[in-house]
Amino acid sequence: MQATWLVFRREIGQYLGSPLAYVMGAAFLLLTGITFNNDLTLSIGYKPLAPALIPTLLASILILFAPLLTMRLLAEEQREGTLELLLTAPISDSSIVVGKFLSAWAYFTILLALTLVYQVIAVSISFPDISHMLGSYLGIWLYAGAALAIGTLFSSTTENQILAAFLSLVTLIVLYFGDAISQIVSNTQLADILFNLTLRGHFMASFAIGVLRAEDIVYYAGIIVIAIFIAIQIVSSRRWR
Amino acid sequence: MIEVKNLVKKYGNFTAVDNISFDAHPGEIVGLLGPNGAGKTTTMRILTGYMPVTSGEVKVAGYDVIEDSMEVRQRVGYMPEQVPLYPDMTVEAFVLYWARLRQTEKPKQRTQDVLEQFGLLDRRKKLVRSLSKGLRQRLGLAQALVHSPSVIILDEPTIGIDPKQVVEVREVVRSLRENHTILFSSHILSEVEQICDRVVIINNGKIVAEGTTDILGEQTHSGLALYVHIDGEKAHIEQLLHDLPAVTDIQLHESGFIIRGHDEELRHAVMQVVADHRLELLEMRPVDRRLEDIFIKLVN
Amino acid sequence: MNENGGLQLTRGQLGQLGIALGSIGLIVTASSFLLSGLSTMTIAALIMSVVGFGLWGFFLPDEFRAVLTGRQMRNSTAAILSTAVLIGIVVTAYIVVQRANVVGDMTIDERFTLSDPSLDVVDAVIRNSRDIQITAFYNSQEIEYREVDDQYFQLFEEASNGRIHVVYVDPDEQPGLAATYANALDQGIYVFASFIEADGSLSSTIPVPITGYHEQEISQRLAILLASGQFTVYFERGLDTLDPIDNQQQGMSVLNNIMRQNGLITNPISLAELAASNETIPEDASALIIAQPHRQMTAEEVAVLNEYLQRGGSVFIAADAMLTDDLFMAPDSIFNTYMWDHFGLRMTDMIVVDPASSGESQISILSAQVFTGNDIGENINLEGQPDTSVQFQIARAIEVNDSPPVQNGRVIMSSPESWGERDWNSLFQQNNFTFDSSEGDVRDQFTTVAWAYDDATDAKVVLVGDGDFLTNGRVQSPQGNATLFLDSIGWMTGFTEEVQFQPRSYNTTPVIFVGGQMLDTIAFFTIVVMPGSLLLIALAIWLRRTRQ
Repeated sequence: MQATWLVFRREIGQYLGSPLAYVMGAAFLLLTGITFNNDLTLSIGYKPLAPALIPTLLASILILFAPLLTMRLLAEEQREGTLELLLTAPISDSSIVVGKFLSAWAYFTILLALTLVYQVIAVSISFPDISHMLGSYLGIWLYAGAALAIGTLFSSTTENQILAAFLSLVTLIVLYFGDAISQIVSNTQLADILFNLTLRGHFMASFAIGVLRAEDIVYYAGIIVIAIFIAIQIVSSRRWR
Repeated sequence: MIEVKNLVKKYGNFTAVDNISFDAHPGEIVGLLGPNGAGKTTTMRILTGYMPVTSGEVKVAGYDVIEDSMEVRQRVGYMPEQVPLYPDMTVEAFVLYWARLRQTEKPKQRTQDVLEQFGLLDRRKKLVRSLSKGLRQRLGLAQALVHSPSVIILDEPTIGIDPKQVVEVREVVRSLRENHTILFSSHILSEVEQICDRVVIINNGKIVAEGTTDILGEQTHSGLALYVHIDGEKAHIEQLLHDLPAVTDIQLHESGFIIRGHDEELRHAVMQVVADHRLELLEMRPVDRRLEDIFIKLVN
Repeated sequence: MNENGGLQLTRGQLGQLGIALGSIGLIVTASSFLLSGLSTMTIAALIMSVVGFGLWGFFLPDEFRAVLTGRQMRNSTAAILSTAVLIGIVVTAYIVVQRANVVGDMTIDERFTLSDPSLDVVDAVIRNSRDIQITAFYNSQEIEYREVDDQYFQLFEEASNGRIHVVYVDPDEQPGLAATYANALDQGIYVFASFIEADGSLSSTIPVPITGYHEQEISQRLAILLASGQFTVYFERGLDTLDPIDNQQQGMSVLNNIMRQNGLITNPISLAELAASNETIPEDASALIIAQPHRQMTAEEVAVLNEYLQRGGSVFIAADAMLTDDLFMAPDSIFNTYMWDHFGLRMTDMIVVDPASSGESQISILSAQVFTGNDIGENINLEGQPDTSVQFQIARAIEVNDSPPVQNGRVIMSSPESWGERDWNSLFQQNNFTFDSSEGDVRDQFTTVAWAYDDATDAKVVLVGDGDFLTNGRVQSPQGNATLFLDSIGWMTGFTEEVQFQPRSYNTTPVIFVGGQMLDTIAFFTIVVMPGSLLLIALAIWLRRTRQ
């Protein structure tokens, strides 16, 4: 625990001390801000503000964003050789991986929390569906956890950051649009199974429309646990490979 | 404190370390000497628990590196060959990070201590990326020592730094001898000879020689080696040099010869021969004993 | 340092492939067994896992033996196996949780919670002897919508203790089944509700249009389904009236179909035949429709109708203007007199001309004034929805007795500028209608739709001075024409009361009006200030670094 906390703290310091992370954050806020203002203008006197607007937007953006956030986590340590020091320090391999994953998730959480400013604005000028909105925020937070865990997994497989980002991007795209395959196969049963395997499938049909389903939470938690477990296995495989 | 028995490490079909055994005791600096690719780094990585053994038994501080990896890692201070650093951290934060990760008692105090020890105290707020090569080497040593390990493993700590810094590092290592077991790898013969109490010479994964640093002198030609280039017919000159009592060995090298012998007598004798036979001395310079030469001798 | 064996597969790698194959097989076996019991999939996966582990045993016999004899496993095998076990645990947990269907409703309107009125409907479903099937059509590209709709269906499925069954059909896979619903599917309706009969067949199928308010829409249609079959409406066919089967412009099939889709039973009947054979209108008749008859009613026919009304019957009468000597409800006809005597309503000999009408011409009159104090008029001329008005072509004026024998009242009136044209000849033959008081034309606000209710007998009458508005060609232009008819039927039969379903109101209010300046401030803050300040921090860090 102690070690996880230390690794986490160093990594989050790395994010918050790096200009690039702020540039990424600015791009993130610009994109969400434009979307929010757009919806606001369209809604006036016509419809309530879309409660799940920002989370729904993020569901697709994260496909690109999560690899960028996570690519350096373990790949950089490998390339710089610091992983050798970490692995010869008296700490468990899991605390290294978990600490790093949590830091990426925490960084995303900070960005996500910044978008709550829009919701505060929304509340001050109208009567939006706050609980629906908060539900969708919880959903996208879990969704992001899963996407970042996959990014962490691929960062552990290689010392090349670009390759790590590419691999996780491909995986996330497959996990996002996976059910498109079923449109070619044209089989509803298969389509249903595939849809329920995708990241999108557990967000669009529940959190986004204002429902909290236990199965979706288990799905995202499951993806996180599995991806991080495999990443730990890959890191410790160095000890026995 | 370090016991290595019949250690074998294979990468697929390639045997990096081939059945080596050696040990090191507290208060002792053991040099691991060998050319690049001899298996030094592999051996050290096994000792730190970073890599598994293929077969054999390795104990550090009384613990098996596989079975009690955590105990071993707690007690080892390790500086890999290319000192790995986090460029965006400050010097102090970097050392403190490792102090805490290794569960050092009073990490802040220890950090101050090692920074002072390595002369980094006035630079503690600087970013690691701004340090010079030599300072980075010192920082590497600081992180390796911050948790007061009983065993210190240093992989080529003097590689790639300027001569003044080399001297510094060597001094630091010697000063650590008292309370630690130190394993020190190098491919520079003289360095090992200067610092180490004992030396283990490996080549192609095998131990070629082992013992106190004296073996370097005994088993090989200690004393002086000179490169001599004298104008004239090769065979004739070789004969002349060979006949000198001061010369114990002569080898053809480039367009001249390498002769070995004892101390200053050698230089004197060569000058004498040149003068006696009215020859023209084109070049004469001392030659470093090269590790390869020693291996050749040792293997023969 | 990484000396790999290239791409060549070693025995060890084949063995590990075997473990992976075996483990995946086991996971698939377990999950498919949990999902669908002992299926082909389960057995196939089981065979796959056996083959996988067989490969492992064959290529890595030592390791295989070591595992079996409990000696220390090799790390790689342990890693793969433990990962497989973890995946298995997660998959099992997922399936268990999915089956438990734990759902929380986050919307402020509780869209995913059954409202009290909906629960009443569901209670009625539970009390009903027959189960209900919801049949919904989605092809493989519409899974996302299905997932959304499914949440609502599951609410009903659970609340009804399984008495409501949901069946998904892929129209691409089962075109035969879909063909039955083809008409509705073409109109974009993809959900249907039916009773399940004892033999498993479906009956009384009605469409369930989904427009986004699933919960109330489904409840509404379930209520209609429950009420279906309880009401029978008869079309009078002996008076040369509009044909409820004819799907041409002049037919009345659209309204007939709508009634049937709403669970009403419709049948033809002839007053003349009943009179001839000395029969009466059937007991089950909830209402009788007399749509645009082309002749007068005989005394015998009136007697049959009177008998029906005396025992609480309901009649919808569309008495149109037409140039004939045998005009239905001519001012002095038997039936017209009957209506005046019993219900205080009668047809005049005037055609309403309304200069204020924005219709095609002044004799194409729109509902200028609507009385909303009754069930018939409340959905007509809704504010801001021009399509809810009613439009008549050449309508007769109705006279309403203001001191009537029973309760009566007006539903629709023309504008105060209108007048009654008495010269039908010139109107029909030369399309010529001018106000001419010498011909007896009268300026007045005329009634075109009226109702009467006898609380002693429970008899109900709706009288309309037009018939064309019921035809397929006009009934939906504007939509108010259909509304007038259907709400009349709903009132007369009691159907509206039966399927009375009070939809909940939604709490979320539209964005209140925000001024342009406020919008600019918000945009400036969110698009410029927020990202900008992050960029400034980035710049500051970068500068500090380069200075060092």
